[in-house]
Amino acid sequence: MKKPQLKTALLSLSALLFAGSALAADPAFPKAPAGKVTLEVWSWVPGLDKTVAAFEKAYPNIDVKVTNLGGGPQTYTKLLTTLKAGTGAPDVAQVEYGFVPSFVDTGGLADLSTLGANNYKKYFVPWTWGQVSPDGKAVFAIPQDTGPFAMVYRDDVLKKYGIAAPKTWAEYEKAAATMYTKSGGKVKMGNFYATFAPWFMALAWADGGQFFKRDGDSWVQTLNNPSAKKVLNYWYGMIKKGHVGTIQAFTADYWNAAGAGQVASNFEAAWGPGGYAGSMKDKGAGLWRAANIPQWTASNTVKSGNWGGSSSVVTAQSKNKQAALLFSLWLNLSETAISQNWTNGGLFPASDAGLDFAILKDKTKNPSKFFGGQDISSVYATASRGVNVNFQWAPWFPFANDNFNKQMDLMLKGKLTPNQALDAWQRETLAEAKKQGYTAR
Amino acid sequence: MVRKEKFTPLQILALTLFAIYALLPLWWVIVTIFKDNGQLFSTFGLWFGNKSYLSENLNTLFTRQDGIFTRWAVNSIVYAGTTALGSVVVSAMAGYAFSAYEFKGKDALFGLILATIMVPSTALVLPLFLMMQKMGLLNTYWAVILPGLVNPFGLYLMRLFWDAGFPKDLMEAARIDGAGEWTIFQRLGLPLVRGGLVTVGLFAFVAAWNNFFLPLVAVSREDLFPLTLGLSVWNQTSSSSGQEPIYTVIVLGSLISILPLVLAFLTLGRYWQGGLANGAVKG
Repeated sequence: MKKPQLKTALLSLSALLFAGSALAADPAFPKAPAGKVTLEVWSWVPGLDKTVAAFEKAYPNIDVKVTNLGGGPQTYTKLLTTLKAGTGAPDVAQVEYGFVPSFVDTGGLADLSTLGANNYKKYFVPWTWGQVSPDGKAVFAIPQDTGPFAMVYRDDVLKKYGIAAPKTWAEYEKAAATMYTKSGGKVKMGNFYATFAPWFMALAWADGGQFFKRDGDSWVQTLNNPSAKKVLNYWYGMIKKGHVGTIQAFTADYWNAAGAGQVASNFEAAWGPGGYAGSMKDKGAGLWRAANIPQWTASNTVKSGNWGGSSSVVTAQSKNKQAALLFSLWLNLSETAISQNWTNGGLFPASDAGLDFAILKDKTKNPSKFFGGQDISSVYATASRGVNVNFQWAPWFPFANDNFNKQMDLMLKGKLTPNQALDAWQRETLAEAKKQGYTAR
Repeated sequence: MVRKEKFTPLQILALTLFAIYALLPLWWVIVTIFKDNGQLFSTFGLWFGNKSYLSENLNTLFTRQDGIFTRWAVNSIVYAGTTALGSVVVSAMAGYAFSAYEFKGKDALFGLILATIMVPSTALVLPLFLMMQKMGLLNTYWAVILPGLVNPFGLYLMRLFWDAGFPKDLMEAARIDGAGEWTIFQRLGLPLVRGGLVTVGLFAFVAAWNNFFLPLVAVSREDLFPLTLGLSVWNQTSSSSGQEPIYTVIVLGSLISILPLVLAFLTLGRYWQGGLANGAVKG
């Protein structure tokens, strides 16, 4: 157990040194192939077609063709079809972390460790590498963007009720009760997203919760792990008292309530604030702030979880894997690409040095502008560096994702206790995993 | 002669309620295209906001990504038009063969063709994809058009129309008069099954216009997308992180994308109704 710790320490030290040197140059990328090469890239990163122009300028003999399929299930269906068919796949494709294992299982992804990808591990925030290289040897993707968790809150509302931004969950619970009493139940301190499993999982992730683990050829699934139970019971207690709401995320109802100051705080991934600014526009503009998520025990080190984010995979079919790896590394480590991806699409980088780029902290632009000019990217950078490294997904996660909504619905209707809901989630999802042919327990 | 119906107030009420129920989504669409994304979430869904953003929405729709929406519209017309036309030709000829001629294994073959209607299209995607890859047709217009030409349901419908609308005596008489088989089919037969042609054409057009899965798998270049795929990509990007959401623009695009279908039904609906009744009674 000593060794990995030392490694991590060295890693973060090198990351620190790297970040410290002013105007750090991009890492040395692998050599470009000699001949003329065309790379096909499937990605929904906004403005990527313009970003690749800079790449093509730096590597004139590599021609990159970008296809934007918008992401989501349809993109995966298409990618899966080509991987199963053994032909027609792009060289590089964008895949969200949670879906990487199911593509690994098709055997259609290249193991990038054979091409020297592990040499670049040190440039990424540690937990992101855990997402693309679960066993620490084979590397199935290059981390791209991330969604570490922070707390967002309405500064004006908290001040109105005389509440300081809570630093622990105990303080948060107390704040929720105070706000409920003082506002006559009109203003809720928080909101539980009952239809987004990854939101809930991120909160448990911050507590060290583990949901899936590959064990040789089989899997261990623990959806009802102690952290999950602790987190869900905590929230259910506040929900039952009416201290927090259960408005669905990304709905007009939610934006209206949040815009009107009826939801005083929430827990959002690094890409969330951009959505707040875009969806609420002038309502509540400048009144929001971001802070570290509350901790279970008061501490100076911040532990957080993650919701969302994606990676660049190289397919086994690619005829130019070396160039594809080069492009994936450049796309996610070069200052040019990270800056453009942030400006065009609000992609919060997986690159450790990228977290400190000045462009992320521009106070005159959203999301920081919507957050009263606060440098919220620094809050999210702290969060990202505090995300637990060991966290795995399973190929059948899409089923778990849907089944979660069913169990939460039953729980909110009072038909299941939080523990029963999580046990049912575990049981039904495990049965499905076995039905899909996985050896899981 | 259309008989004038007298409705009871209760019936009128029920019909009115149903009409409102059916038209409400369309009303929402019309109201929404006048809003920007902020109003979409902050104003009442079934009434207009205080400021119209229709011109901005139109502008975004037709200029985003260098005006690719127009390209998608043209693609949709090419895909659906060619598929409809080709599928009418194939179905009419094959249906004629099954109706007019006697040949060995006819019933078995027809049964086999009917059976293929039952095969879900998703099951065919992988083999189709592999075939097109082998033939080098991926990322071409043909990849979307060719599979649509094979239309077993159209063939079945056309056979019904031929059976009902083209008397075999007529064919015999024409043969005796010395008309060739092609002339009989084309000059004598086709005008008699015009309703059928329109029906099959409309069905094929609508199916091809709305087709999503086939172009999704078969083409990977944005300039080959049809409207369905293109708008869906915009919708996905709109809901992905950090993007300026353009939902109202997408709604406007969707409304425009159904106009050709509305137009087709209004102009050809007459034939279509007659055709369906024909098939229903005489088939």
